[in-house]
Formats: sequence, C-alpha cells, structure tokens
Amino acid sequence: MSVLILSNSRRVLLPLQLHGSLQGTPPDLRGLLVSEVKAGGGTQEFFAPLSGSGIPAPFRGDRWCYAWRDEAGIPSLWVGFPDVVFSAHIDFRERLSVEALIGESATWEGLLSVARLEITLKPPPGLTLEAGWGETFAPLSPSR
Amino acid sequence: MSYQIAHSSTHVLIPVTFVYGEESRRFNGPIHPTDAPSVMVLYLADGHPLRQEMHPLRVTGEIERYPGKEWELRLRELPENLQAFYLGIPDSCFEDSSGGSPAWDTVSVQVVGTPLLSPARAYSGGVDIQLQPRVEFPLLPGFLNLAERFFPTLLPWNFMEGFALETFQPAPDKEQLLLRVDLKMDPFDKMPISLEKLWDPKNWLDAVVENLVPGHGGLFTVQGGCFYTRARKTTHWFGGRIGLEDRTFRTKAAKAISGLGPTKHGAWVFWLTCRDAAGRIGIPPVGVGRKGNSHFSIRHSLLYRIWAHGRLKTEVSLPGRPGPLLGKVPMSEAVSALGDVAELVIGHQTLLQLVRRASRSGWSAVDGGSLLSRGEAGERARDLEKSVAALERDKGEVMKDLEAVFDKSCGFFSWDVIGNPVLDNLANYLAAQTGDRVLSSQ
Repeated sequence: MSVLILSNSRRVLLPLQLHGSLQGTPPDLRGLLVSEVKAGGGTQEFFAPLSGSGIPAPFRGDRWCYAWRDEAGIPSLWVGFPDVVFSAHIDFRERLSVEALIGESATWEGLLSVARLEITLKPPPGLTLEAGWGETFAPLSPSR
Repeated sequence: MSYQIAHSSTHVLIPVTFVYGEESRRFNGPIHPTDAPSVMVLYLADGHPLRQEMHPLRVTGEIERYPGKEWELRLRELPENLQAFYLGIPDSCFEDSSGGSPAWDTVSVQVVGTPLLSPARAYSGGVDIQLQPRVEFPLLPGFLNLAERFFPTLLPWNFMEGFALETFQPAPDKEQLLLRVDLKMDPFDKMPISLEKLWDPKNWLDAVVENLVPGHGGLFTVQGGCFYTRARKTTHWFGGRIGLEDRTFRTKAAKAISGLGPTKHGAWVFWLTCRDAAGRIGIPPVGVGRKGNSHFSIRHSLLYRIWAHGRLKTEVSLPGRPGPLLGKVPMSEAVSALGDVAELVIGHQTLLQLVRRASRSGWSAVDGGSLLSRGEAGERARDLEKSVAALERDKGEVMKDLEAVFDKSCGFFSWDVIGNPVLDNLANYLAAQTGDRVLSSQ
C-alpha cells in the first residue's frame, strides 16, 4: 500500500497494510523499521522502538505511537508519525517505508514484520504571503 | 505497493522489503552476490505493448550517492539483526533515449534471489513506480526547517500570553533592558521542552529575541534572566553579566518584575542586549515601555554565536593539521554555511515571524497583520527566496550533509533538537575559535 503525503504535514495518522490475517489478540509491536530516501540521493534507516499501544487524543505529532483497531472483527493497525518525519528540508525526504515489527514467538526468533506502508512525499506548497492577510497586530513605534 | 517518481529523476533509490517462505516472513539477509539476485522489470503504458526485461543486480553496501548507472541492491545493517534494502534504479528508466519523458506510465520491478546454502530461503520483493511530471521544489520551507534544526526555537510566539519591555535601574547610573514574557497554557500543545527537563542556561545565554522590534534592523540577545512564578517568586536565575553578584540585585529586580503586574501562568524575564546590524552594542532600543501581544520568538544561542563568528572572521588553523569535522564536513565549512543561514534568519526576522505563523495554518492564512505591509512582505519574500536559492546553489551540498549529520543524531522527537549534540559540537568549536570575544567584546 502506498500513500501520498504533503511535506510539512502535521499530526499524521495512517493505517498500515497487514501482511496476513491475525489470529487472536493483536500482538504488541516491538518497533518500527523506517527506511527513507532523500532527494539528494542519500538514505537513512532507523529502528524506532515502541512501548505499549495507544494513540493519544488529540494526537500531537510529537512521537511515534500505534494502536490496533477492530471494526466488525477486521483488525487494522494505525501508526502516529512525529511531525519531524515530514519536515521539508533543503534535501527533503522523497520516499519512506515503514514496517511494523513484532518480537519473537514460540515459532519464530528475531523480529517479524506484520505490516508495512510506503509513502511518497510530495513537495511542500509554496509560500503565499498574499492570501489571508489580516490586521491582527499593530506596528510597533518608538514610545520614548 | 507503489511510489510516485518524477520524470527525468536521477540517482533514484527505493526502499524495498523481501519476504520468503510460505508465511511470507521478512528476509533479514544476509544477501551475497552468489545468491544471483536479479530484477524483473515491466514497463507499462496506455497504447504500448508490454515491455519486459531481466537484469542482474549489483549487491553493495556503499553509502555514497547512487550513480544511477546500473541496477543495484544496497544493504544497510541495523540493530536487532535487521537489514534495510534499497533498490537503485538506473536513470535511463526515467527518460527516453532522446532525454525527454519516457513513454511508459508505470514501471513494475520485482527482485528475486536464492541463497546458495539455503535455497528454502529464496526471497523476493518489489514495488510499482508511477511516473509523474516534474515539479520545481520551493526552497523556503526547506530553508526554514534547516534553520529550525540548527537554531531551534526555545520559546515560540504561540506559547506567549503577552510581553512587557521595560528598563530596569539596579543602580542610579545603570540602566538595563528587561523583557517579561508571560506564558500561555495551551491545552492543545505541550509546553516547550526548553522549559522542562532540558532547560539549560547555556542555551539561553545569548539567545536571540527574534523580531522583538520589527524593522529595527539589529537584534536583541539574552544576557541573563529568571522565571517569575504565579506565587510572585523568582527562580531559575542565570547569567553572570547582569549583576547577580550584587546582593541587592535580585530583590530590586523582583520588585521591578512584580511591578509589571500579576502573571496568570508564570513568566520568563530576560535581561537583553540590543545590537545593531553590525553586532555593536549601544543603539538605543525602540519600543521600550511597550506591552501587548507577542510578535516574536526566542531562538537558540547558536544563532547569535554563529552570526557573530562571521563578523569576527577568526579561524585558528595549525599548518599541516586537518581541522575538526562535523560528520564528513570540515567544521569551518559547516560554520561558514550556517553563518549564511544565520545572516538570512536575522536579516529577515519580521518576515520569518509571519511565515512561521502561516506555517501553522497551512502556509496560506497569514495573520501577521501590519508588521509588514502586504506589498513589502511580498517583496521581502521574493528577496529571501532569491537569497535562499543562491545559498542552495553555493552551499547546498554542505547543507545537505549537515542535515544528514543532524538527522543521525536526532531521535525524531521535536525536543531532541534542543539537546542535540551537534549544537554542542558547534558551540564548542566556536568557543575554541573565538574565546570570550563573541560574548564580551561586541
């Protein structure tokens, strides 16, 4: 699954695509593996550890978080992204891949990928200072 | 799974994941050239026959920029025995033989490989790519984020309830400039970490009060200060140059601060130095005696230190000895590039305040009002855009490297920016270069 996100987006919550059907209670995630490619050709990847599920309401875009939701018996995995992931830089991120990993189980050692999302970041909008120009503040003038 | 990539793109890398086995488990490597990994490529377009190709993949752990010549699979080691994989797609996929837009709309790639010693772990993975028309990237948002990383805001305008700018006389022959900033408790936003666990006087000494007096042309820096609580007590005193050594200073100051009225949620109080555009002290401040809504922010001290360093032009280098590095960038080059960024940030304080307010509401609804007239703001924005374009042209590669260094040490939490070791490294380098001169001589 792939989504388009505008750079400089804030408080982003997205569903990940599950690799297979889940049996029983949805597992706790150990963390997210994030791989990113920048416009300048550089890459960066990191493992963002997670502790416990839950997305605060309102979500402030200040940290990684996740929650399982269940609609009519169909589970879905939602991830909250820190705003800084979408910050447009001089060398801004163009493509992101996010994988949700769970810890080892009786039948598996290491980390197992349960869901994934691919994101194409679109360039941020230009600066439009002309629009919506209000008259909120009076200009300062020397008072003495 | 698909990404959108612009026509005529170059150096294209795509994050890919591989799975193996009936349960589609994630493949975490290792990948060897002996696996003979190869890529099957399908080119699809309306009205054109399907085109299919197979290419061998060059497996590499290189970290240099992908040259875009041949199909590559790049491997990256991560903690927890994880590996990340990037597929390098040749530039030729994104342009036709005449150098124009390619005929196809979609490229589908699928990588397959079989480990020689464990064929049961044969892995595969791929992505679809939709080709899009190329658009020019606006530079200003990227510039603002770069500036925000290296010169982070310690106290943003939207956390301020109001302010008062006054003079304070600790002695009959001495007059100091005092700024009291009353805090706003925003139920929707977290308090800036600069006031919480990472509060550190070193970030505040020489911090810049951005746009305190619009159109002033110079800047105001923080010499010292304290926190004024709801219970009318002063705490968190800092700054050795404001007169704290005088036993009666704090009592007199507390009286002056409380004389500015009660505070609902507490207030920061700063002793300021006013500097002109050349960095000299002594220009009489305008706007003293003013109270009202805030139209300024307080920015990390690195902004002033780098800006002042550019004015001193001091570089100490020992012959035959390489200078220190920040990542792979020589520290002197890093400071020079950031010095240019600092010049623009300080030179466009009023405009940038308006822009930052706009960014909170999607770049379009500026509520800055008459801090600048509409035509003047448009003109200054165009000036800034030209300057940023020139900076990107001249020092863009250095700035990209600096961003990469910063990102590697930043944990993707907004408050990590203020405590980021890169800022400390830069501050230490500047201190070694200029000693106390930046702090005291200007």
